[in-house]
Amino acid sequence: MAEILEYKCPCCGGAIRFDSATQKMKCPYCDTEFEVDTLKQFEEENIEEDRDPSWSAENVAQSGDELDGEQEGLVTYVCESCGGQIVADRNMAASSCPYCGNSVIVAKQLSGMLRPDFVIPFKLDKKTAENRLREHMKGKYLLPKLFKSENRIKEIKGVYVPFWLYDCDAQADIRCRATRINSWQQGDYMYTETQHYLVSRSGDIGFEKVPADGSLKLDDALMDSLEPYDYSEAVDFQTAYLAGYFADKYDQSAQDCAPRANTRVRSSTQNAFMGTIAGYATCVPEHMSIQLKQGKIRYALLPVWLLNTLYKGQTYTFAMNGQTGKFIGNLPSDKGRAFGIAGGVFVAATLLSWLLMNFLL
Amino acid sequence: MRNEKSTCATSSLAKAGRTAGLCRADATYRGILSCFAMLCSVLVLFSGCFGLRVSANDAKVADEAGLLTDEEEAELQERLSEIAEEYQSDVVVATVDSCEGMDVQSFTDRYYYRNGYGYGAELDGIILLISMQERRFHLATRGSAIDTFTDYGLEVIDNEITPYLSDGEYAEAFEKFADLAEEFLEEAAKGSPYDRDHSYEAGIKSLTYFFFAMGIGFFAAVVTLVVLFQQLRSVRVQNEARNYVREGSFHITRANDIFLYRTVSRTRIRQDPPERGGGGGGSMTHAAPGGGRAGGRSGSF
Repeated sequence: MAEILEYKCPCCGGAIRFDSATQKMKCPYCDTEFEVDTLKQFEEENIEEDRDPSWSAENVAQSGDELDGEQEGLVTYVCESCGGQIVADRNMAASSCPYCGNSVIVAKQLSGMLRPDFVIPFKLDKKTAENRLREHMKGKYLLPKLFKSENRIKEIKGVYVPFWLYDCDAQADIRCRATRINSWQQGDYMYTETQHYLVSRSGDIGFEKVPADGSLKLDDALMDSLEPYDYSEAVDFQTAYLAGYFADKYDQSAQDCAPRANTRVRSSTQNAFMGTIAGYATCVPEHMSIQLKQGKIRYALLPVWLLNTLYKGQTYTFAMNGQTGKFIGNLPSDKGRAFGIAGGVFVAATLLSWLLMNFLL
Repeated sequence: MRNEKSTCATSSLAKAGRTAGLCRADATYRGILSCFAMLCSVLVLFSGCFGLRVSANDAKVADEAGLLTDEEEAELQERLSEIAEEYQSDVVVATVDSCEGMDVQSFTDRYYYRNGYGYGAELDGIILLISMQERRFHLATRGSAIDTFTDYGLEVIDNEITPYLSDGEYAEAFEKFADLAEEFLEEAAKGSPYDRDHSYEAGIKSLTYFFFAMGIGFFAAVVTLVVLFQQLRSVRVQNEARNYVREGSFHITRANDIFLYRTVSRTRIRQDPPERGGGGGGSMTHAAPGGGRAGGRSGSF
């Protein structure tokens, strides 16, 4: 059973949203600002007093099992403000009503087992994301000229993406064959001495909050590229932070995503230990055992601005870290231009180096 | 044919002189003789001018030691004939079992003369003779070839073919010889034979430089493209977690570096042979059989 939450301004009754600039809840109608905590307390008091029984369960029709194939996985909610039917993905946790635009939060998706441990609130707004997109396209020589002017933003939305954060301890035991090489000249001969060593290292290393996104819909590489987030700004989860943004609950479990985090931990462990072996000409691992001890797994919602743009009928996806502003997204290339530049560089470099060789040698 | 003509010309001239001295009165006889002599010399000159000169011996490959297969021999024969014809200078390869007790230079000079090689009165041509018993080879030049293949040029050929000969790759050695002979003849035909002050390696060097420069150009183009394409890509899967290492959690509990054993190997340092004979170019010559001079260079393989 789902339940829709909507935060109303205690002052004027308008739908209230989280404001990333002030890190407070702000009413777009009367400009009143509230601390998130204050609003939460207010809501709790309010709900207890005015709770209308006809409001929650009956207003929500869940269609997951009852409807046939094509609508499977869809859930219908009723908007609190206008009464419109909101058809949404089964995983939808926060969205906006397509009719009245009010933010809608599905409490069921964020409570109990699904309640995130913490959230990093949005710090940057939509305007910044649009500006960063423009900056992102600057200084790219192979970007088709028309892409900058004809590329249109189709959709831009702030999304709280579900992430699994893994704590992990690794114990490593590494053995390598290493060599040191000396060479000297004596008479008509060049002598090369190779010293062979057996190098071993054991130890442990801990990792904290290695992230892996728990959303199937979003490309893993896209989300990976947005790292790092500054966890020190993370706060305890409260649904109010989601007001005005989109959010899905995870659809890949912590177990599903663990291998991705483990691979990263393994390679970093290996690098860390191999990094302590110095002063050798070659070093070839002979034996390597890395034992992982899975620690705490935390569930967090991290802020991402997603931008979809349209260019010549094709959609390009960009993403911005909603906290740090790191902007990523692959851009198309102008092949003809690339060919021209490569040809020019080839001819110029050939001529220049040929001239230099003839003058200097 | 050329030999006969020149003999004919000299003897008739001598005769003309003698008769002029002996029978001064007999003007008619003298006149006929001198006319004949003039005709002969004109014929010789003409044959020279119109490229009628030919070598007395068409077998440019004399594989007496049997080092080549029939196909290799035929191919080489054709190649050398073409070069000889084009540049009017013999290019001969000969292999023998032994030098019959002579030193390889005299043997080669004699071999060349005896077998009637050479174009024109000066017996223009070059021969590469290798003798299997002594494992020596000799390059002999005569006539115009002395200037085409200077001492420097012979050294170049020596350096190029000796490695092949030493490895028993005779066909490759002879092919290389043919290539070099053609290049040297071509350069000489342009008016300036390769020599110390106009070195063959300089040409090779500038070609090498050019290819090297093209390599650098290619590399620069690839690097530029990689950099420019890389600008467009910002989405990458992360394979590392080094940003997430818990502070102070990295401990090494055991670190051993055990020395096992050592191996020593040695390689001979290749030393470049010292530059020979300072400045001067040209060719050293010695008297050759049948009159005239010959240039040459011998070597072992």
